[in-house]
Amino acid sequence: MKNILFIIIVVFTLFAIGCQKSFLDKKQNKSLAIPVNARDLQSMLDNTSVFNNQVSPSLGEISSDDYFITEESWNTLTRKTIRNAYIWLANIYDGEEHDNDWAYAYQQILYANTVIENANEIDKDFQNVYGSALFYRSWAYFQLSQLFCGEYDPATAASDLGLPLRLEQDVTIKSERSTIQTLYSQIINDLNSSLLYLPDLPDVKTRPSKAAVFALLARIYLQMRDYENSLYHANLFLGIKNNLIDYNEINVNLSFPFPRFNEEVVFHTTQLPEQIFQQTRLIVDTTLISTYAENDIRKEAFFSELGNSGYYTFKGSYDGTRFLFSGITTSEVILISAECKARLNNLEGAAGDINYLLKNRFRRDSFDNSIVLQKSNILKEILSERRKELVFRGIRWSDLRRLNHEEQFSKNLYRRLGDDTFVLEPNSPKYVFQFPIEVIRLTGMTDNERN
Amino acid sequence: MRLIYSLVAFGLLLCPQSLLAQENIVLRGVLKDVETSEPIYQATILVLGTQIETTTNNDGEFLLRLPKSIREVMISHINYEKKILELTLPLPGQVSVFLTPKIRQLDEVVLSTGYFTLQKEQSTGSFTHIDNKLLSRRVSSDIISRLEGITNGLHFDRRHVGQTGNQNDPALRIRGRSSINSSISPLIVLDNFPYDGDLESINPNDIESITVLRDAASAAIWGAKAGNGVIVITTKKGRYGQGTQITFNTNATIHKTPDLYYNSSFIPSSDYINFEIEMFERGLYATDENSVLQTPLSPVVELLILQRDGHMSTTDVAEKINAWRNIDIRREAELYLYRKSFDQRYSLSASSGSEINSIYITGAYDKNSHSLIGNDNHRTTIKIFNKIKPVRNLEITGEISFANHRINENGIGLSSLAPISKMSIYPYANLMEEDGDAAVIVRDYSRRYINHAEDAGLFSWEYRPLQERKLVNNVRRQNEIRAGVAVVYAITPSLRLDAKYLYQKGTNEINRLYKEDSYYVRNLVNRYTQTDLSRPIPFGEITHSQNGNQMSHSGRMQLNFDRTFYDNHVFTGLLGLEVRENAIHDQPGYTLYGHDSEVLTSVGGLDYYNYYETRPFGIARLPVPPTLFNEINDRFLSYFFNGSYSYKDKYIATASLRWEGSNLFGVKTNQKGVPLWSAGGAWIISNESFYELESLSYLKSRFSYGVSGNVNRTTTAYPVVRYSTDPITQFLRAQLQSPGNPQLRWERVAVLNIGLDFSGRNNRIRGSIEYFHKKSSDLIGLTSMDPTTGLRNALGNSQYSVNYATLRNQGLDLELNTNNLNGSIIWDSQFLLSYVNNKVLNYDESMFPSNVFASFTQILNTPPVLGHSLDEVYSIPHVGLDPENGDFLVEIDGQLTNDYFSYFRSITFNDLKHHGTSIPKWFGSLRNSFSLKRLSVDFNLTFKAGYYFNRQSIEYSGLLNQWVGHNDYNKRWTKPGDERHTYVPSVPSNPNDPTRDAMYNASSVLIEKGDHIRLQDISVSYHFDSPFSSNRHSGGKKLRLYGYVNNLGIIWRANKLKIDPDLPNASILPPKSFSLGAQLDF
Repeated sequence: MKNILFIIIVVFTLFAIGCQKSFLDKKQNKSLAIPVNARDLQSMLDNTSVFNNQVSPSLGEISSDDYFITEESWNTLTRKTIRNAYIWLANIYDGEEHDNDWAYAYQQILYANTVIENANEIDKDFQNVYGSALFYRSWAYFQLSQLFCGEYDPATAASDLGLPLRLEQDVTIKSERSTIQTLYSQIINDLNSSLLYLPDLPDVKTRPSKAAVFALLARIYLQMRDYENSLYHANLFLGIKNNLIDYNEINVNLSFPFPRFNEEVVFHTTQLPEQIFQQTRLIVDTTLISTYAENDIRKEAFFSELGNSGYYTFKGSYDGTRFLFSGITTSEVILISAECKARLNNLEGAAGDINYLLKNRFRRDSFDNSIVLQKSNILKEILSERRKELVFRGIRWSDLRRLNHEEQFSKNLYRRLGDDTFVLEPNSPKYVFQFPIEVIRLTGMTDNERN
Repeated sequence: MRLIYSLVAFGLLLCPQSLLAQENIVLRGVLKDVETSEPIYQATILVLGTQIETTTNNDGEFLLRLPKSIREVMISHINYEKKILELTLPLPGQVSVFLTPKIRQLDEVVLSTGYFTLQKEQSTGSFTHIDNKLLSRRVSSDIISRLEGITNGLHFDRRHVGQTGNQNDPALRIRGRSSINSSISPLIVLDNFPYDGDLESINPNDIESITVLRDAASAAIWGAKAGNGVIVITTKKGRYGQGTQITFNTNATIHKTPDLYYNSSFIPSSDYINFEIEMFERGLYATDENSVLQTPLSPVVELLILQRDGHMSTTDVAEKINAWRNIDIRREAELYLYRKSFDQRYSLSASSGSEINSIYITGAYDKNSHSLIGNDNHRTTIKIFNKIKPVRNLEITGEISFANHRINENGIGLSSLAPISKMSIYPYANLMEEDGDAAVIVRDYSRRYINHAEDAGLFSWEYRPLQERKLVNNVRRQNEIRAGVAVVYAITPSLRLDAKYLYQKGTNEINRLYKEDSYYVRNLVNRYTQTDLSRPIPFGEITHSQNGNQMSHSGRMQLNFDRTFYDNHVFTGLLGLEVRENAIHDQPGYTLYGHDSEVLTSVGGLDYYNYYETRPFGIARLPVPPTLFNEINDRFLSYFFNGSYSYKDKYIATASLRWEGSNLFGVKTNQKGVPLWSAGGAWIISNESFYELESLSYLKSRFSYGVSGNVNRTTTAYPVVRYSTDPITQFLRAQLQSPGNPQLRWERVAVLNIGLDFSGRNNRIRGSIEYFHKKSSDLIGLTSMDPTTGLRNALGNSQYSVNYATLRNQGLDLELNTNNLNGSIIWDSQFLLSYVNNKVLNYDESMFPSNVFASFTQILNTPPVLGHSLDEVYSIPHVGLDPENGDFLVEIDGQLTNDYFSYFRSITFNDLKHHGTSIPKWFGSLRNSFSLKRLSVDFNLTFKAGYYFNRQSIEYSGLLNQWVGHNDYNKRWTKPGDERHTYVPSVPSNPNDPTRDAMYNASSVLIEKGDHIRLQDISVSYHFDSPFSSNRHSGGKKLRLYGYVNNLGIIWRANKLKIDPDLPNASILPPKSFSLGAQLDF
């Protein structure tokens, strides 16, 4: 009797102890993981729905001057913020919680921070993810800076308000605004560090590479109007890659003539898909259309006529879909190189770059290397080519902001809705958007003045 | 070993007895329980008229020496009826005596908690027991619905029915709502283990009884899953020594055709046509007309376009349109889509028991047609349960059951006629042409576009619902197997070791076949047909299949102790260990194109990666067949203790303790488990010697307190990612599922229960009243986070799980049973009444939603507010209509205005009107049963009170764009002065703008009181001796004929609009049903 009891108790206890350790360690859902190893972290960065696909901010493009929409189609836009951003109202949110531009970018930053915190950069297995995360974080911060911060001005950058800089995974840390100087230093330092860990060109174009880092640095220095640094990085990029698609080879009759991940793409992202960009609404600015020469293949490859209305809509996304491409391509870097060379008085170099680009854009039989090499108009020509080439790439808004500083290139923008006309003047505070209302409500950070 | 032990025990027990030496006969015997065949120990055998007595040993054996002249001995035991044993000489070597357990004075209700059974009288907790007779009064194919209206404290919540697709199952609430964001469904236990399968695979005829565990003392043994209460279902099992019994039960139910005219979201054809003509004149269809997506327009608008463009004469158009004015889609649907439905059920069971073996076998077949033509289901269930007692102190139980369920879902309901881009179909749609052909209705694209399909080399793009129904075959098959084994070994009569194992597996397979002429195939093939008319999707049948299975293993080892010391001290207790795993494995399934179901071939090699041009517009990949597996393994490990002590049948104390662990992922090891406990006490006052109240012959008070919990598997302490395949790169990708919160804790539910049980003389009145207080703390909720943190869910919200609120539920449950007449007519009544209300006691203020309008004007899931109920109904105050244009008015700072945006921005929580709850605070039933000889009639009135619901009304944006009407349209404001007698706003100047609609539909004028009384059902039955009865012993043979009528309808309601307040969102009510059946026992 006692023996039996004893045996039972022993069996019970052994069974209980034996079970507990391993039994409850079984993963509840096989597709879940605590991200610690290189594969987990790489997979987080390979999430194109977070980093690449339909996530780049679009408020800038919405407020840019490359297109317009009719009053009727404006009326049927469901989001108030989009309607207001289109006509540059001082208070675009008007009580609406609209934070797509902000939240998607900060989601990338959270992912990148999680990876940076868990990746040991000394360990070879982790180097690529570490470098990639640094790039993604810088990419997100720079995109945000173009919407929610003023332009970089070396004189005041140390006191101008920048973005809340989140560099840790912990979501309970309170957000506080940094200065523009801190923001830009962080971005540039991170990008320089990332160069240690990245390959020249990526395995797949949704991933970062040295080339992408050079292009982004060239873009950032251009925006800071530091043309020497910009050119320096553009040249580093072109040392890795400088090939272009010859538009004579593409079929312009397709609904979307450019395939995704095409030869010119170095880093692939697309903009947030806003209703206002739908091909049924978006009408390309008529003045812009008129600047494309008859023998410029881009006119047919980028645009399609809406019926026989004489109006055009856009179909030239490098995503091969209706979603607007916003990544990095060779042609952008060539244009940066040309502009910097022109500004630094290397007119021949600038003309060489532009001719190289246009040779691949114009009809083969009609192109004659005919860019005029005059100091008075070469910069204007290059900027015009830049606008024509990089249309609907999420770049125009930044260009408007920086060119506003130069009298000869600054301009008033106009919108018309019925009888109402709206104007956006150069250097207006409306070139900087307010933080989303819920961000201000939940953090109490100082908002941007937009009046 | 056993022998030694027996001898020792025998000796120990017999030694104190002084045996008289002069007796010259010896009586040897063994006492057994008549039901369980268990030996009965410590029974007294008294030789009447002498002082000679003895007690049985642990094996139930006794030995008595007595004078020859003695002819009778009396056998008695505290738990059994006394028995006089007559002795006839010569005495047999050993007599077997069976004792019948005592019928308790109050009721002999045996409650099952899934771990142990106990007499209701011995409990300190709150139980509701539904016996077999009560379960059988209702006729249905499922078991849970039978509890409605007869279970005290159990509420069936149907507010969501009609809102979320086909989800028609009620949500069950036992004594309110114990959580905010975690599951609030009770745990369902089948026999001994939580039931992981589909409740549809349980045959209700196999159920013996149901016990609902409502408080901590009853439910805490279930630990972390018991916070919402537990429903324990006990199946029939057969008994030892009962002989053979066979029961055949069959019944049939007819459900009336559903009443499609009940739905108020309908606008008569003629009114809608006039509305469309007016909107067309205002140019409101221009965007859709010119859309490159070829957005579908209604037939009237298409005609008006033809007329405007001069392709059709005004008179022709008018003639066509006028013909449509007389069509009513509801009439069409009633004729061609719905029907009277018919259910048939057959069940045969047999049980047999000898002294060492008992077996129960049952088989049942159900065939239910559905009120939607094309939908039906068939179910076969088989079960075998066997108990063997190879030796006296060992019992081995084996059970195996199987269920097969086939569900055909080819019906097309009124709501599924709506095109994908709309929420309803236009009211003048017809389904059948005059010549008997299936009619065409608008589907995905405009008429103007699909008219050219065949000329362009495509297949016809027309959608004919009545034809489509025949060209689609949608079948769901579910199989379930349960197999279990249990061993009970009595180490000593008071100590039993109980080991159980159960395996359960359910498979679910969905097959969908679209024939080649079906719209589904034509549409898909057409969409991808390229300009050169090549077809990336081959023309042919398309078939989809998907299957998943669910499997659980449960094991338990338990030591039970049950012993009475010195007659007055009864200890029972159990100590055990339980291990469970429930695994769900879903396979991705397949999609086969160009299929031929005749010869089972399909076309392979489709290009899922590249983009194709699609018609009418855009580019797309071919629909990629699913690729994801899903594998979930939930594991639980628990240790538990439960004990009770009672003294002299007057004082009872109980306690339970459980440690519960689960394989929660992404939490620290010490967060995987939680200890939970309960304690209770009871005092049977009427057993006291000083108690003299004769009219109240039984009185018991009891209380219990304890803590159970709630598992929330979505929260983690560490960051957790979920893997999938990236659609763009096809690489492995990970999505941050939870950023991790190191401060997370388990939700806890502390329950206090105080009850009083009473019964009058002769049980003419008996009942109970209970008060409960449930406090749920550390409730987990999503807090709004600064989007800068990067937290972002699929809906675009930045949220984070924290323990943020405390909630209190308190209420009363009253049960009163009376026997009103007890002559030739017997009249019994049962009155059930429950009150429950919840209140948020503690709440993290930072989580208060900023968007007051959007958060609080939805009825389900309003955010918690300190001091308010979670089920509170809020609305915006109704201040009337603008006398000038019939606009809905809102009040801002005392000014009446139609500036909805400002109102939307400025409205605060205090501006809202607070009505009450959307869940009844009071509910219950009154059931009367009458029996006259062999006839008995029973009807049940249910009632609910103290609640509100939001009814729907006209939304002009929906009317214009979604084709959704509402009969309030005819009450709308049309001219100044109307505002004095209507609250329905006018057609707005811009019907595209949904803001005014949203304001009006959230206004207080549409909030109605839900109070009502319903005649739920009537049950009639007649017993007579079986015509097949044989001469031998006809006692067990009888025939019962029964009838049952369900959903008889509401006999009184507070709202004047004839809306069923329990189903405020449903467009179709459950129709009345009539059942007839027979049960034959032989």
